[in-house]
Amino acid sequence: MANARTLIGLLDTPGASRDALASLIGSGQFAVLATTSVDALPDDVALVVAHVRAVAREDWATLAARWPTIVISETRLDGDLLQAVDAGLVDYLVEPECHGDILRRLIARSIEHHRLTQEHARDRQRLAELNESLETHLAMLRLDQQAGWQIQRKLLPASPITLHGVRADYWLAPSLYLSGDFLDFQRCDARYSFFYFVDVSGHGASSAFVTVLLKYLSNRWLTQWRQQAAETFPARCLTELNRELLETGIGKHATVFAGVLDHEQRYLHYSLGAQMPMPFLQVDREVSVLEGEGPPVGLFPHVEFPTYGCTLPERFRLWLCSDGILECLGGDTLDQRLEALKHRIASCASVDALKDGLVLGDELPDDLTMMTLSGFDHA
Amino acid sequence: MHEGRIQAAFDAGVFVLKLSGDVRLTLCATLDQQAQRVAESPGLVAVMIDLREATNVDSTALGFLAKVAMAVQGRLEQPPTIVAEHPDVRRMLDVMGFSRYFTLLEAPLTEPASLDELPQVSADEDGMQQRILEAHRILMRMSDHNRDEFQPLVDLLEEQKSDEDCSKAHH
Repeated sequence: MANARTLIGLLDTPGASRDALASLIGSGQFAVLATTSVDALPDDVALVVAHVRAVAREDWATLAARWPTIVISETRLDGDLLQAVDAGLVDYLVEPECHGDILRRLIARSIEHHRLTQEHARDRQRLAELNESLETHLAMLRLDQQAGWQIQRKLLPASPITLHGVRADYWLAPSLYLSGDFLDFQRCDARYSFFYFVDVSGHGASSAFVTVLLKYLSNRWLTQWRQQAAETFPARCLTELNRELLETGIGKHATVFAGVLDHEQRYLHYSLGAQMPMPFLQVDREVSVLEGEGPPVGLFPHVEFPTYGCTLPERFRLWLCSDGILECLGGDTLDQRLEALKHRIASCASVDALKDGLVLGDELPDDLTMMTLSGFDHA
Repeated sequence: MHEGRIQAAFDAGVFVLKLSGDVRLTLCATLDQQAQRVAESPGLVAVMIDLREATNVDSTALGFLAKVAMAVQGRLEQPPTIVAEHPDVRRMLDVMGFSRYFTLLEAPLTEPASLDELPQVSADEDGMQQRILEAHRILMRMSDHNRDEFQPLVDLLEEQKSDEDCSKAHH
């Protein structure tokens, strides 16, 4: 609201009429400065009351642009009144001397409107600046995450990659920019290869950090590779990963499937922790589910990880999917979705074929990864 | 899929945590201390997790439950109890190996009225029934305006959820 010191400019030709107007306006909360010239009005004037006879037609627009202005006239039929209103005057009043109260209220209301308008403009300006700064920050964060993703991709194996006649193909799609899913396929020696498939709980940057730790650890495990321990190697890796995650105290756990392929005996040694869905083994058109169960990795101390094994035919395809795939399949229950996945895999010969049949929106609710190992007949 | 929801209450030594709907705490990585706080509640005698209305519980939320179980190990006479009905949720509890750390109940809670007609059971099972009943009463009393000492925990979990929702909405 206007305060007691609010200054009102009064533009009118000098005389008794102007004096009367000045005292009308000044009888309340306003101070009045009467003058005949726009230029004589000081900057701290809050509003101008101008009589039509005191302002030239061409000056209305300038006046209205500078201050909120109320125009007054003795008669409603004054042609200049229309000119003034057209030029953007906030209000007009006819026979002001008979309507002192109304004039004062008009002035107070116009000042308040003007204040609100200015406030709105300031708010809009502030919001626009804030928005721009948010956009900038968001773009920076996005670039940062994308750079992280470039690094994460470098830690992953080539796709496809062939070792001793077994080929790994995979497709890994982060839900945000960085993935909590991770995998690897490496040579142990002339007879064995090692692979793992991991889904770290949660997704985004915090989960992606764990995948980096995992890459480092798996490289260390491979340097300690002993041929005679091929069978128990996967379970030992899981035990070690479990200990590392718990000791680091990052509060992240993971589902893991780790396997050692014996290319000479055509045998798979494997261990797992809370893997869901379980890997599928495809031989010709037959699809079976690998058996086994194990505790999640990085959640419970002192747990045992199991050791399993299965013979592989000369031509096989092993499918691994992270649980993100379950959100992209039809079916009301988990069992129905798992069945749908198995059914789909039966008619797929590649990761791309499986991917193309999924309902993938622009945004994935969870990281989604699929990988196949096929062999042993790849060059 | 309806919005996930989390409620917690602590009454007569029983800590009750109820998860409903599709619970996702994906981007939350700081729940360990919260689990510890639950375990250190003075006078804690039982922990009851109610998943009867949960349709999906993500791995982070399951991890939190596991941490609660680990934190109360050795402090309570009985392992914490999880009540779950939804087959998908039960399947996840199985896959996660929760049966080692929780008493998993698959049967829906019996309403107090029909409990009288139950045949006599062993003392152990009887104790279990009593605990479930007690938890059930607490849950019945639990309202949206339930202001207890675990409100901050619920707020934190809910906040993580809404952060998640925001992050989903803005990229």
